[in-house]
Amino acid sequence: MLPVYREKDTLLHGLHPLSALALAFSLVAATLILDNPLYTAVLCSGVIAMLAQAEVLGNGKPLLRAAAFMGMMVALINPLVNNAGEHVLIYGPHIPMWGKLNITLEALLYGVAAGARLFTVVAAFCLVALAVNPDDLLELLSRLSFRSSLSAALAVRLYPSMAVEAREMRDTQLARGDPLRGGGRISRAKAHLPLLLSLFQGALDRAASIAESMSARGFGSRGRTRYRRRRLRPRDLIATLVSLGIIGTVVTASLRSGGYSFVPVIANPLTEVDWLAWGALSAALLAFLFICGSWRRWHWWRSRI
Amino acid sequence: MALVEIEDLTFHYPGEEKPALREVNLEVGRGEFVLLTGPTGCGKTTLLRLLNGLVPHFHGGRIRGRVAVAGRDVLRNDPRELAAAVGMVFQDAEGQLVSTTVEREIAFGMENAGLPPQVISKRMEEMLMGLGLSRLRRSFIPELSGGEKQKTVLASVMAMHPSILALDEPTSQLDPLSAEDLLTLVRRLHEETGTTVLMSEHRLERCYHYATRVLYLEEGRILFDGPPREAASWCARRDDAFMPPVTRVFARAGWKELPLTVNEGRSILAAPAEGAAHLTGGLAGGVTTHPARAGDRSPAAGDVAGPPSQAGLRLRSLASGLCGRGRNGDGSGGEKEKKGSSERGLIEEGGGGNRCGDGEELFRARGLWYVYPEGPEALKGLDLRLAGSTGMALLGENGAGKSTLLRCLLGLLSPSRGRVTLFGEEPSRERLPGLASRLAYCPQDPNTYFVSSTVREELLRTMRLRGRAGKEAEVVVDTQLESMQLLHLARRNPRDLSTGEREKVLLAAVLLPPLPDLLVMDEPTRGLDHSSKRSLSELLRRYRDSGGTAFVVTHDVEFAASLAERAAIMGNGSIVADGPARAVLGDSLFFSPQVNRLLCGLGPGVLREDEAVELLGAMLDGRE
Repeated sequence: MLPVYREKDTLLHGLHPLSALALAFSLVAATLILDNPLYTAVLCSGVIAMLAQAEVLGNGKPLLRAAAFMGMMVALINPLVNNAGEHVLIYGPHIPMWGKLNITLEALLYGVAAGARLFTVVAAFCLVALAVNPDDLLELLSRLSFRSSLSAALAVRLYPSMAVEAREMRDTQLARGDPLRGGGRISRAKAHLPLLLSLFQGALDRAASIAESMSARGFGSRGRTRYRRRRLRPRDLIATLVSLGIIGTVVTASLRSGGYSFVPVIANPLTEVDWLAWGALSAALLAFLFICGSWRRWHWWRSRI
Repeated sequence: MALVEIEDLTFHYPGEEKPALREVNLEVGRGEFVLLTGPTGCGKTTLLRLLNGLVPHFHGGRIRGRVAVAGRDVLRNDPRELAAAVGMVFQDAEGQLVSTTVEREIAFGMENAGLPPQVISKRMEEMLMGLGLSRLRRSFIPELSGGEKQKTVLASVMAMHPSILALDEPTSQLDPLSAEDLLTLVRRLHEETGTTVLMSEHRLERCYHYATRVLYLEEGRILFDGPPREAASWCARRDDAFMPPVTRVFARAGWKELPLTVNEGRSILAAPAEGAAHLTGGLAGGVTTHPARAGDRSPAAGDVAGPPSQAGLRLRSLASGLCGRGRNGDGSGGEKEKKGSSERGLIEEGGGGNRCGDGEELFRARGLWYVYPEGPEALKGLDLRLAGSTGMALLGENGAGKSTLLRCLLGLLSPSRGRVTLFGEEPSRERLPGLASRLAYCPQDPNTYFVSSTVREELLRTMRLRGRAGKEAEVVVDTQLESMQLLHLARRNPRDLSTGEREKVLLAAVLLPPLPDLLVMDEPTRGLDHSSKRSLSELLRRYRDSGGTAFVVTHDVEFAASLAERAAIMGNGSIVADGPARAVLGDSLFFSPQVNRLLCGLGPGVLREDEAVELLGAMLDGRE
């Protein structure tokens, strides 16, 4: 079952959705722009530490596992489709229309780095999904399009109900004598098809009930107002400063040291890195993690921000 | 001026020839509490949906007549315009919640109404506090209990300050305590805010006495409109079941004075009457009174001693009859004999299954623990054994661990500690399909069972899964449909049927031959009206008489009392009481049926309506 948002008493859960989005955006931007593996390592560790601080590591395990799997696939597939690089590890056969299937060290390491960056980006999205109240987030987005954000809210709300219904349907059919499996994948899919249709029918019935209930509560009337409950607090200022710090680092690093290159030979990450930018990035992330941790322990600090 | 005015209204749903409402005339004034009763499909829901314009604007259909609500013509104003005047709470909480948190859900209607944020904030606090939802303010809605969800809907509706609150069977999906809680809340809103309430409800014992007026509908017509006491007398004259159990037993026993509550019933019984001294003498001499409650709650079970009268002697023999009743001690034997042959189908014939012998162990749980990942301990060292052939009810409030126990017993969950055996073997997901000929499982929601497009195909699928197909299977299915009076629904989609009909189709499917040894049912009476419950109870009794064992997990104490010989109460992950139903249910304050509370101290653990009618009849004879 996919993870869902749960209210928790952490600083990350207490952020205004705007500042939480800004923080996630800065982390994603930094991960996508900075390709030196040293930056990726810091960003990846920072995001995982933030997930831990938000107490959503357990809840987000299925998503993170999927991200890790995708990252591994990228790392494995890249050397097969990309043979750039001077250090050939394996000389493969000649494939028509393709050329030589050589596996190079550069392509392999590029794949690993790209996989790690993909994992970091998904983990940052996971942080938004599990530590930002979806209603608050959608309220923010509803200024752009209320109907789309309402559809998204309904999907978030109905997903757990549908998952429970699907599980109950499977259990009931097992008890009825249907093993729901066959020899191969096709027979297994065939066995599940009636359940799937029934589930869709249930979802449609529920959609009709919700539409009726929304009409009964005046949905679609003119002059809709908005109830806002989130206020910007000092903690949001801190999160925004950290986000700006990360963006600043990205800009500085890009301007001062240019891009990192994996081909034709791998550049030395230690010599290519801008240590000042790296240090600033690490310091910003560490400071924010320290604030998250101390917020819970020190009442005085908690009451101030 | 009346708040609701309906004149000569007739309404047809799209494509339906039969009108859902016909020639309805109704006026409802400010501050009234109107209770709508009547059999399933009589038009209660349609009438309520008419008030806020969902009928005809949302559902379509043909309409004739005039409807005005709060001075507005419903036919000219759509639901959006009527939303502020009429608040509507539907049956299924799950199907009416839009947002992900309680706070946002409450704000939803107010935002739609265009109220300024300051007003929304004020009313938000009012509703959270008034309806006891403050601690749930930021809770994720899918994680709330059914009662909490329904309260959230009520808060969302009431926050719009409607002049009319329309509730369509709001407690049908709730456990008794949550239902009680919600109805108390509705009553408080009515009394303290003067809101006009129109409510349809099956649990009449919980709300009949709140109502200032009762409407009885049948086939789209209002047949009765008057105060609850008159409505009860009217129903009694028609031999109709739509009244609280306590009223029903007095009516069936032939009493002229009909109580609406247990307290009133006890006052009537305690009132002095000719022959009463003899009667109480008879009771004192012949009936074992309830040790815990006889003294303080039973004015009729007096200390008056004296020679027993004829009525007293009859009561004494009745009482000893109740004490000595065995597995069919429900007073229904005679009734059963009268059943026509059309009612006697495959179930009585045993369905060709291998019936398990009396006392054969069906399942056993020993020292069972279950802990959910990142969750609470749902089962804590639970012990339970069920041997055939019997009827057992398992009761307990939401979260007591009943569903977890059921899933462990079926092998759908592996216990954290302890051991479970089902038919002598450790159950598992892999083994479960192989047990289909011995075990039948009725889920809480019949829709999870239905995967075919017609009722007949659904039953044929069950036969196929039990290894029987072809002409022979078709004959068996048709016989089953006929014997359970479902033939007219054979071509309908099971999902489109009423709650009662769906439950009946589900039972028809699971009780196809070979009849299972063990029938496990999870909340089978959810959303059923009195007559559907009665027919379900009758079916289960016939199944048990054929040698089957029924294990029913339920909140419905009346149903448990009518069916089970054995009852267990679950609390905090373990079994807190287990024994003969008469002892377990007759010794409870809340886990006892209304007739038991009425007659505690007068009879030895009277649980069933038939027993209560017999006892009250004898008492009436004594008075006369």
